[in-house]
Amino acid sequence: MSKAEWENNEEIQIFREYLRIPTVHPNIDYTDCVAFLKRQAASLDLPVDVVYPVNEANPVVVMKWEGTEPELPSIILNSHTDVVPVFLEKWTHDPFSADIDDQGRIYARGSQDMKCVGTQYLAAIRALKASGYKPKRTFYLTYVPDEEAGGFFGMREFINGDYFKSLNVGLSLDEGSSTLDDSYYVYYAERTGWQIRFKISGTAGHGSILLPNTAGEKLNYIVDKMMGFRASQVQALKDDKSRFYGDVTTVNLTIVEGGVQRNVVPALIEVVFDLRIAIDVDLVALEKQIRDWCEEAGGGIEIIFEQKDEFVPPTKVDDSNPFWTAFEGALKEFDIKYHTYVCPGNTDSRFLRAIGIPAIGFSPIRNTPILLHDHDEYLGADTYLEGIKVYTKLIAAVGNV
Amino acid sequence: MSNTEWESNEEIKIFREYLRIPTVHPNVDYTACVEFLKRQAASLGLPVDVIYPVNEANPVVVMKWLGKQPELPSIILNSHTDVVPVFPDKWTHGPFSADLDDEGRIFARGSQDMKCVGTQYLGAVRALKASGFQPKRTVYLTYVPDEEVGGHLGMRQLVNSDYFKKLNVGFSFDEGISSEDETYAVYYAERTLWHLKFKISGTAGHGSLLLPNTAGQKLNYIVNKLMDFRESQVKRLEEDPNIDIGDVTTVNLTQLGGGVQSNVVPPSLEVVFDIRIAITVDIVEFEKQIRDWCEEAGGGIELDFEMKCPFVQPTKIDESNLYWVAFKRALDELGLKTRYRVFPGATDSRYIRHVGIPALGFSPINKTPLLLHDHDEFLRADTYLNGIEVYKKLIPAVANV
Repeated sequence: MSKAEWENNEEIQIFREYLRIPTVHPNIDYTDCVAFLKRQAASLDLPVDVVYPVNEANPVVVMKWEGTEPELPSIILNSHTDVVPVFLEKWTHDPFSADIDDQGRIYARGSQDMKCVGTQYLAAIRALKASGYKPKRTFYLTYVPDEEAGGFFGMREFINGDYFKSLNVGLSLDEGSSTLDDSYYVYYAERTGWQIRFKISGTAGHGSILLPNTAGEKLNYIVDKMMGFRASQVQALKDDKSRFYGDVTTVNLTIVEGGVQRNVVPALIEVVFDLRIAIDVDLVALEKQIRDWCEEAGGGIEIIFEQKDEFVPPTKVDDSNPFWTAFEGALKEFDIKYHTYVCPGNTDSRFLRAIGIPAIGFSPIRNTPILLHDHDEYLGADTYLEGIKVYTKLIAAVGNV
Repeated sequence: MSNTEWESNEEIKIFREYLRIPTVHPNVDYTACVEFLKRQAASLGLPVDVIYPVNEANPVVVMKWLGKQPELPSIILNSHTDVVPVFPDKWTHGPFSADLDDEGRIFARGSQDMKCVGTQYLGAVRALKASGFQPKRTVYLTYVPDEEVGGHLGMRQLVNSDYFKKLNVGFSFDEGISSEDETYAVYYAERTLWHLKFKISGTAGHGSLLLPNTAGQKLNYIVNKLMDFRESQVKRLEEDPNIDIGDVTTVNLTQLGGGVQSNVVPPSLEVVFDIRIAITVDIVEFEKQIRDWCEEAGGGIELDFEMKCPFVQPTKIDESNLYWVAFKRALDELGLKTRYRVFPGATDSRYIRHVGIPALGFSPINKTPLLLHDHDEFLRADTYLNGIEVYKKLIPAVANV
């Protein structure tokens, strides 16, 4: 297509309109976003609700496409409406301009993560309705806030309410990620997130003596063990090229603090590690291992879990899951390779899986640099339109399970 | 002696009066201290100067005992007038009370470090003058401020002044440390002090990724190397009963900081080490080793020497130093068991040695627990009086070289 053709394309226009609404952290005003989504619902002739699971500032917009057998468990097509902050000076286009260049790249915060998916769902439904297709199962298009900040004001509470229960959800589709090659990634699980703060106490005193059991020595031991573990995971990735990020445990030192004076050995040092634990790791054994390391280090180390997610069972991606069979079947109709992986990051899908609802994380973006949360985030117009085609098939397939 | 005898002893009274002047950091007011010292000078018939090498808040008091051959290099009997802070709730006696208990212990901040020496010098001079003694060399009693915080407002500037140069100093007495056994320690050198900050830069990004060359990995490498080295010095001490802390290089992790968010891999981390380098170590090689470790860690590490004291030549403790010969002979004749050591911390003697003047650090305190900078710092009255006896022999020996 040419730039003029892309600009005249109705679906591209809707996508760009959505991108221009700056629902950016912090302190997001979702008003215009809600109004936009209501207009979209109206144009598709879908009834729409706006609910507030936590407070008035954080709306969830729910559009309903009723199925022919509405008593069956429904399917939610989920997307989050919020986007992460920008460093303006690092962008070559205004991050809320949705500028389209000659190669068809649409530049905006949210173009990959994940407003594209939000309007691609609408476009797919538009196409399906126009073709006369009616799904067996009811579809709900859910637009949630706050995902980028942990979902505390969005999905996390939404699923606890009576409203959500009344939706009787049997499957969720939500975001995946872009890929650099020509394959798609489909996510069926997420790693378990822990954030651990080690509060390390030790002998304090004057800097000129070699006191035993100082916090510095214990810190050395702990960091050594944690970094040794990290290195083993880096090696595991290197040793087996078929392994993906999400298949190993990620460990990172993120915060360190302690000491007041240069010549005084401090009584307390703190270090924080961020862990994303692979789904095949025994969490009880891992915690014990960490506590053992603290004892070996000399004791006097308090472990505080600033975050300690529970293990969430993966969604089945085999033929025991009829939704997966349908999803996979539809994907196969395109001549596009795909891989099923554990998602390396965190998305709202984990809340659904935690309450037993199968969830698939998928964004139809390939041959595209991974720019979520980065500067000059963009999506190719052709990639966007291809994604609509893929969703059209996928939605029709899962809707008729 | 009994409690009443100690209390009525004139020298003990002068010592306790000095202790009661709270020249304690921070924001020390030396006014009452200067007045006290002037009165002492007057009572000894010694002319006194008060000079201000840096500013009006930091006086140096200089008493002069003219020698028979004043053209010869002089002797200084140095002591610092300031004391370190207290935690009053941890003391069983008021820290500026100079309470004398039934065992003859005098409790006060400064009782060991180092007001005792300041008034012991006066006690010795008083006794020597009364016996008719006049030294060959002129003896100056110098009372300096600010030593406990590095001496920048005291001795460090004083040694560079014209006033000091006119004193034509040939030898200096200054503080040592109390000894827990029957021996006395005499200090002829100090280790070289560094406060070294490592400013570590690395790949930053999201906590869910295993990025290469992160600051955390580099921190691990650096802390590892320095702690291994520390361990090697601990072993040396354990294996060789003939050396003590001043003969090894001490390394201590004293401060660190970095990272803002628990799920973000930080672009930089900082760690500070207090390093006191043994006088037998090649400092140039040592610095090169550290810089090599930084390269091995992956580079991107900036060394910031918050303190980088120069190597100071030890004072000779052999026949070539006639002052030492006289000093040692005097202590031997008193029957004192002595050990000659490298001072573990830092005193004003380093500034004196740095300008080429031999200096020995000596506090005539034995069989006393080390309580400098600690709670319930005390000195026994008998030990104090015995110290005056020691100086009565030492000062003439050295002043008559």
